[in-house]
This record gives sequence, C-alpha cells and structure tokens, in this order.
Amino acid sequence: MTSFKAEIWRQVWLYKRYSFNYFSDFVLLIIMFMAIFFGGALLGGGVLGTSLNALVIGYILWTLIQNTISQMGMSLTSQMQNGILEQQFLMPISTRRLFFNKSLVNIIVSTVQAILALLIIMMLTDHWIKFSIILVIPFVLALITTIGLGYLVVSLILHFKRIGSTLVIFQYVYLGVLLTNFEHFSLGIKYLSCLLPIFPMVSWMRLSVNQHGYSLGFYLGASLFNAVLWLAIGLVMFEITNRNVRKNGSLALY
Amino acid sequence: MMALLTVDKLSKTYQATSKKAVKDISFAVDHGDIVAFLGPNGAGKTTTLKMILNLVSPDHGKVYSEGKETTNDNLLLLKNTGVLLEGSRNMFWSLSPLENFIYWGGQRGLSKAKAERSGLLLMKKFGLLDKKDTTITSLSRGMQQIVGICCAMIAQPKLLILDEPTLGLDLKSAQIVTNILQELSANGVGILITTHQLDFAQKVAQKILLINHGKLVFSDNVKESLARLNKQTLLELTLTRSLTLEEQEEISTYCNLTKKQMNCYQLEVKSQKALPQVFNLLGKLPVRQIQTKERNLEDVFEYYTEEG
Repeated sequence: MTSFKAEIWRQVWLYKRYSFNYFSDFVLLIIMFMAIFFGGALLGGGVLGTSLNALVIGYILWTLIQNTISQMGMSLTSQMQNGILEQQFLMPISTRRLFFNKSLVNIIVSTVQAILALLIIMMLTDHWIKFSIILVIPFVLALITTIGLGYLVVSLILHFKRIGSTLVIFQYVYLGVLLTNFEHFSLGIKYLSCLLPIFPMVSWMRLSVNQHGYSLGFYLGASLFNAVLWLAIGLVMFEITNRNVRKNGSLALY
Repeated sequence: MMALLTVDKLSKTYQATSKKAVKDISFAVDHGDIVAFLGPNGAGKTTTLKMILNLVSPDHGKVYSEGKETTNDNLLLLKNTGVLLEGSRNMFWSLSPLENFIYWGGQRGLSKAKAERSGLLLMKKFGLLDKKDTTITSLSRGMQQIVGICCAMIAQPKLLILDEPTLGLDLKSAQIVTNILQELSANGVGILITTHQLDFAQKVAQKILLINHGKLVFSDNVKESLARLNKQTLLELTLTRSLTLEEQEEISTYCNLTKKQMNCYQLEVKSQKALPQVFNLLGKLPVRQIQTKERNLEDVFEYYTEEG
C-alpha cells in the first residue's frame, strides 16, 4: 500500500509543481469538446450514436482511456531513458505489482480529470446527462481492459524502447472504437468485435444512453470476457517480456 | 551467521555478442564488510552487479541472501538491500530530495512520515538539510550524488550496493561519503562498491575483488595483501647514466630489477638479509636519487589487469 501511496504522492507533487501545464491540458480537453459540439458535424451520426448524451460520454471515455495509456507510455519511456525504471526494478515489490500501481494511479488521475471535464462540459452546454447506474459496470470493465492494455504498452516499451508512434495509433484506434456501431453489424462481426479491446463495453454504453433495447446478459458476458481476455493478454506479454529483458540484459539499453 | 550476500560461480554470455561477460565469479559480503569491486571498463563489474540484483539473468551460478537463494526471485535480497546504480540516476529529477525520499521510501514499505524522518536525518548527516526542498535538477553534481546515496540508504538496508559512489564528488564530499560508509560498516551494514578511484577503494574497503575479462583475478583483504607485498623492500633508483650489463647482472643476484624509464630502475630486494649487499652495490653507482617505494592498490591493479 505504501508503494501505491508513493505513486499518488508523486502525481500530486507533479501536479502542484507543473500546475500551469496540467491546467492548460485540461482547458484544451474542454476546448476540443466544445469544437466538436459547436462544429456539429459529428452530431448527425457517429460518436456513441446520435444523442448529445452519447457524444459527451463517448468523448469523456475516449479521453480517459487515451490519457491512461499515453501517460503510462510517455512516463515509462522517459523513466527508461533516464534510468529510473531500472531503479524501480530494484524495489522489493514485484514488477507486476509496480506497474499495476502505476496504471491504477493513472486511471484515478484520468478519472478525476474526466469527471471534472464532464461537469464543466455539462455546465457549458447546459445539457445535464441522466444515465442508468448500470453503465458503471461497462465503465469499470473498460478500465480493467485498460489495465491489460497498460501492461501491453509496458511490454512493448520494454521490448522496443520507443513506441511513440504506436501510442498515437492507439489513440486513433480508440476513437475508431467509439465511432463504429458494431452492434448494428451482422451477428458474426458483432461477435468478433467483442474480442477487440473495450468494444463490447462501448456498444453496451451506446445502446444504453440511446435508450435502445439490448440483451443485458450478452453484453455483460461479452464485456466480462473482454476485460479478462485483455488483462490476461497484457499480463502474459508482460511476464514474457520481463523474462526476456532480464535474460538479454536489455533493461538499461535505450 | 550466514553471509549477507553470497555469489556462487556466476556466469553470463550475452547472446547478441556471444561474449562471455562473466566467468564463474564467486565471493561473499558479510555483515560489516566493505568490499570494493574493481576492474577496467568492460571487465564485467556491472554485469555481475546486475546478476546479483536479477536485472540480468545468469546462465549459471547462484546468488544467496543470508543463506537463502535469490537468483531468480530477488525480492528477499532487495528487501534488505539499498542500491545506487550508475551515478545519481535513481531519482526523479523534477522532484526535491525530500519528495524523492518519500517516494523511494514508500516503494520500500516506509510510511510517508518515516521516510521523511529518515531522509531528513541523512540530509543532516551530509550537511544538505537546507537543500531538502530544492529540485534535484538545481543541485550540483556532487549534491545529486549524495542525495542518490541517501535514497539508497533510506530504509536502513543491511546491504548497500553502490556503483561509483564518489564519482563527481569533490574532496570534502568524498570524505563525507567515506566516513558514512565506515560508520555504516561499523554498525554491521555490508557494503559492495564498484569504483575506478583506487585511492578511495584503498582507504575505505577491507576487501578487494579485482575482475578482468570477466574473471575474478584477485580477491584479498586490502591491508593484509598490501602488507604482504610491502614486506619486500622496493627501491626506486635514478642514475646519471644507464646500468651496464655487468652491473645489471650483479644487482639481479639480490634484487628483481625492472627498468622503468631512461636511467630509472625499480629494485625489489629478494630478502631483507641482502640489504647490506644491495646498498654496498648502490654505493658504487652514480646515483642521482634513491627512494623506497610502498606498493599500493594501483600497483596491484596494474599487475593484474595489464595485457599479456
């Protein structure tokens, strides 16, 4: 627990020290949303369906997930570059636990930021969203998938050292996830899409906020499967990479 | 009592280069030991340290922490060990020393208050208390190094592994580090250091490990080995001319003679009993300067690491 608290403290100090920069990032988040909102081009079709509810929730979910993944990626790359990562491998906690703590702190920070952004967006648009409490389930399951993706990102960084461009691709993949209505595709594609990270969770949320009918059992099962699958893939990849970097002595080679 | 750290026949060949980086290295660090791990660049010091810490997996050999094997599962070793690798790279440079202490202390299981207390005590000891809230980037190279050492010591480890702890330090700071290491050693902390500063190693270490081309070529107690080496009188002789062949032969009866430079020779007297004869011979030579020389760690290092 002290390790997790230490990660939290580090984030707090960084936010305090570089508050102007973080504040600017936050303002940018709001401005980007307002541009989409007033641009109106997307309102006609894609993001989470047709309603403003869907747009707001979709945008917040996207920023949450991409913040978590890209923050993890960027901070890890810089820590690897300046040698801190190697030092963290010398702490008396397992590396799996160490990166879990880091992911969790990133998720908490991103969630607080996303909730604040959501409140401000609702104030600015004077559109107050009411959504079913059940949406908490796909939201939490999406975060579990994100932790799995976090381990995957760590594995890629440990192996390839620099993955900046891949992280940018990740961001657009997520945006693509939110823009594609897989629930209206043929059954085969709908089932296949459930294997891709956070797809069933997003479909579930989209159907719910647009008040369309859906099978709760199917989406609950698919979302659970998706969360477990990507967490397992992330952990397995992390274990393999972890073993390989130790075998090749490549942790400090940047 | 089991040794704090036991290294048993560690070997490593890197697949990428097929180079045997370390060959069958064994040694131990006990409570209160200060062991200096020396060797030229690329000799295998860092690979050995990283194998001990499981940052690199050995091909063969084992590592034990107080008798328990930690070769592939090093959490037990790390629980008792403070490490500073490659200078002051073990810190977040955008944070202050105090924030670093709280972070690294937390990773080692210390509460915020405990880490803060322990960090402040260390800063006071090193005379850097007024810098506790300055970001690491604003500190001098020497101060950064000291804060790095403090981070390694934050949880009062039983074993300290320090890679080049005095690199970049001025004389005063290096002396402070020496004093702290000696104090820790007196309190039973085992210390393994790598360094290229042989005078520092000679001053602080009780035991020397010398590695060259991946092999341990010398492992001994510093004072005992130097005393043993210095039992034989070593003279440095400067003449106004070179020695003739006859003179060289005559001197070689009693001494091992080595030509150092033009007209300058080193004489290792084979036996103390031969000293009168040696001085008798020297009396006949055109001596410009003669002085006795004490062997130091540098001589040992040169002897074991010179090529051929």
